[in-house]
Amino acid sequence: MKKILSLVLVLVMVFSLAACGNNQPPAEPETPETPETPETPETPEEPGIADSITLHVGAYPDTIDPALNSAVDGATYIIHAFAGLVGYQQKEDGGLELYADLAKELPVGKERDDGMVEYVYELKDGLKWSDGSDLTAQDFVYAWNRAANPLTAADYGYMFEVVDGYAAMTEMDEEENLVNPDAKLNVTASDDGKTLTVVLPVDVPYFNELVAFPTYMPVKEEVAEGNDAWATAADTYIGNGPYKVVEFSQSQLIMQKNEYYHDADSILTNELVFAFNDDDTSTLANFQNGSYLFIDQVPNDEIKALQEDYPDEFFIEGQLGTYYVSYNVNDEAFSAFGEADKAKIRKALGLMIDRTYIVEEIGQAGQVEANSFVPIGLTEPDGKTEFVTNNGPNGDGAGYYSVNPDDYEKNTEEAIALLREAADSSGLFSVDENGMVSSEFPTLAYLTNEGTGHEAIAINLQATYAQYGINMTIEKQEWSTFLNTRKNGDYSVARNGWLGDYNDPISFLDMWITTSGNNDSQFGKGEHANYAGYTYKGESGKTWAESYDKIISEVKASKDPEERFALMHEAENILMETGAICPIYYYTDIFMSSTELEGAFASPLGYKYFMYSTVAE
Amino acid sequence: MDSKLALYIVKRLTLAVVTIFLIITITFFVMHQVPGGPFLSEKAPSPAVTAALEAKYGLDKPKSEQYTTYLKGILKGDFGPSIKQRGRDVTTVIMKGFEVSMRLGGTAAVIALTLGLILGSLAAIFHNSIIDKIIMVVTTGLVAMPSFIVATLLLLFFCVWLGIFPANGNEPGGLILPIISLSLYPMSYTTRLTRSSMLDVLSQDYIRTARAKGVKPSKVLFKHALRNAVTPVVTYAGPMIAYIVTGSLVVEKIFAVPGLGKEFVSSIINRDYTMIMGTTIFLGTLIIIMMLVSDILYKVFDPRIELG
Repeated sequence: MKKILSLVLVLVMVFSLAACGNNQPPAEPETPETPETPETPETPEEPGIADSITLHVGAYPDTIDPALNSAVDGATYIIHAFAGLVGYQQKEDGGLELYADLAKELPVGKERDDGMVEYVYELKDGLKWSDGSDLTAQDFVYAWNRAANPLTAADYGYMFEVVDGYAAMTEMDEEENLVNPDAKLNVTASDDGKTLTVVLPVDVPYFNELVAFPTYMPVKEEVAEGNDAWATAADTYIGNGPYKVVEFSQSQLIMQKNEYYHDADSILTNELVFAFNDDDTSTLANFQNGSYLFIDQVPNDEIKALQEDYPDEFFIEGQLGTYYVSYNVNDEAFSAFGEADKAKIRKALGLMIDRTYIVEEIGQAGQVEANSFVPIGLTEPDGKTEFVTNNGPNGDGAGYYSVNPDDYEKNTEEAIALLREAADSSGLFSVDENGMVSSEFPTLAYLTNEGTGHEAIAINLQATYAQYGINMTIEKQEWSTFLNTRKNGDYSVARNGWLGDYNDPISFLDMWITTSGNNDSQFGKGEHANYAGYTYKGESGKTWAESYDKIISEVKASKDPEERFALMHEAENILMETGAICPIYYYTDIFMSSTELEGAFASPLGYKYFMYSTVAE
Repeated sequence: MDSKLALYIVKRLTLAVVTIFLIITITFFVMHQVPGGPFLSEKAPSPAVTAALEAKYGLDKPKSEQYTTYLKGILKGDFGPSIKQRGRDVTTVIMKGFEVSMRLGGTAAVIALTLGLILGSLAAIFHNSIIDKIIMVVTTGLVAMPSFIVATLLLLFFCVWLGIFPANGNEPGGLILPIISLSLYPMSYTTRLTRSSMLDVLSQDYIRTARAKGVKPSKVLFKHALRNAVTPVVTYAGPMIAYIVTGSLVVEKIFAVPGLGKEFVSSIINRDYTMIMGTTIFLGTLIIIMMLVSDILYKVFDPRIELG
């Protein structure tokens, strides 16, 4: 009897403790006009589906502030807690398309009398934040200016580059002070808060796509202004998306259905739990024992086995990105060579690579051998034809070399021929009848960060080049040091990778202009600035600034989509002509999704959409 | 004696302050010498953004000025904001992580020390028997096995094959396996320490005398022998507890426990300067305190020891 009594007592205590946990004092009311957040009526549970789903898309995120986030997992959380003017939805065939989310319809850019282009978004009626307050066009004005302002220091602030006013906002004087600290984007809200007008200096065909990007989500001024910590706690993290955050701890992010979402009826599952986990063995174990119904990472060496063991749950999706090797065009080791010879040598080195072997034996994740820098998945102006079907020097989609395993022999012969040309014209080394270079050929120094895959690829390249008598050393650096060395151009050859931000090739080509912070190959800098061997619209004898940089600025100013894409193909031709960018493969996105989980989908940017997903009970 | 002890503690605390000051100074300047910085990423932010960030965190100022500003902040108990985890401050991140690691590591330390002392004593008492041999084989194996292997094996066995424990710390019962993985190594080590020092003590003359005088065997063991045998364990336990309660990267990763361990590593990888300083000072202080505690405990266990 005593025992039972004490057990009851313990249970009562436990429950009262648990109850205390739930009744944590609500934070100060965010807005005076909002009444003490009315407990939204508990949604009547949908019959036959699970109330809560646990998923994994990443580790504890550094931030889930829509402006500051630049990570793929962070973007996934944000698209559940926020909704933009434009969103993505899944088509019947499984592909994705843009649709007007908070906007009534997708606008097209209209040219004004002054030549500027205007996008007018009409907001749907009755839009609300997750705390029940009204959401207006002014909220977008605030959020966009906040994200674009350099003082906010958002990695993705440059996503507003295409909007009028951005250039003035970010202009700096020589002392790195902002010239116009009060400048604003040319974005205005109508007095009734129903209409948002955005002005662009020139039209960009992908503007609606940008507007669907997490950085373009609205942010509530009352919670965010002057409070750096607003996005770190559930009570201040006010969104307007299909879900609202109810718990944000170091181990999980819990979201529940947002009753105030304008399309709340389409949201069926009451609760999504995003578990944070950065260990691939652990995520796999959690998937295998049923804790997580979706995992976004698996151990690399298990990929093959998992594909066989879980044919219906293992997914490989295309992702906008290219894994490549970048050469420093100002590499000291090759300083005795002329740029033309250097380009030949680099191209030869690129042709020697057995990409099929790398993809099948090292990558093992369904990656696609790359024959161009701009990857598959990007489309021409018609929105259907792939950009890559028109790539290559002849514009026939053959790429810049063949990656067909049958052509490998031919590639190596071409590589040797190129090396001979460089040897003859430079006189600095020789190539014997077997295609072996003489000992005068400089040693390559390959820089990589730590990581099994990266190191395996480095070793593969080393072995490949050794067959031609070319010595390559491998230097491994820790991540941050590696980034620093590569960015500063203190290397000779380095592994590299790029993931696109939106479906437009400019996202891949813009990074190689002289002034870009991502111009790891140092094009147009140092010695390379003086080399005039490039062609601009048929005129040869141009420097990097006169050819590549000029074409990219024309792309950005172009109003004719056909011309724009022709220019981008031309830019890629110049880029690939240098041989300094040596693509290896196009990235893929691997994840596992339980057969129980229905209605989830992924975008080519790697974002995962769970708002329409359900699990049958 | 009490005043002597007090003087000793004051002396040690003064020394501790000096040590921590040295830790701060060395870490601060060495950390800034390491190439790379907190704002680097595969996609470089624009120069305007980088400049704004540097200004925001005072990284554009000369190192000496940054150093004095930081010291002043610490005196006020302000460890600054995390540079990488935007909107979070170092103290909050450390305290949140420590709460979890403390619970986990504290339990593991208690288990490790208790079991270690018991098993070690058993092994010593039944020296060369089958019990001793089993204990020695098992503990030798566990000392030799790195924690990532132990944790992975536990995960595979109990979570995937048997499915009796959850594979992450979020679920009820999810902390059991992490606690076991954390405690195995220190438990084995303590067992071995206890056994050898117990064997040493048991062969001493005064034990034989006590036995000859007819003192109860249990009293001989616990009052006379264990008390003297425990000194090396105390030496080991101080720093061990400091390390174990500040979290283990491996165990936290494998069982998805949001502890402090991973902050140490990720802060360095990210060059999150304020977080590197915060975690280093925190761990440094904790170790110094634990060492002081174990030194004082010597005195309690063995009054012959002269402190100072």
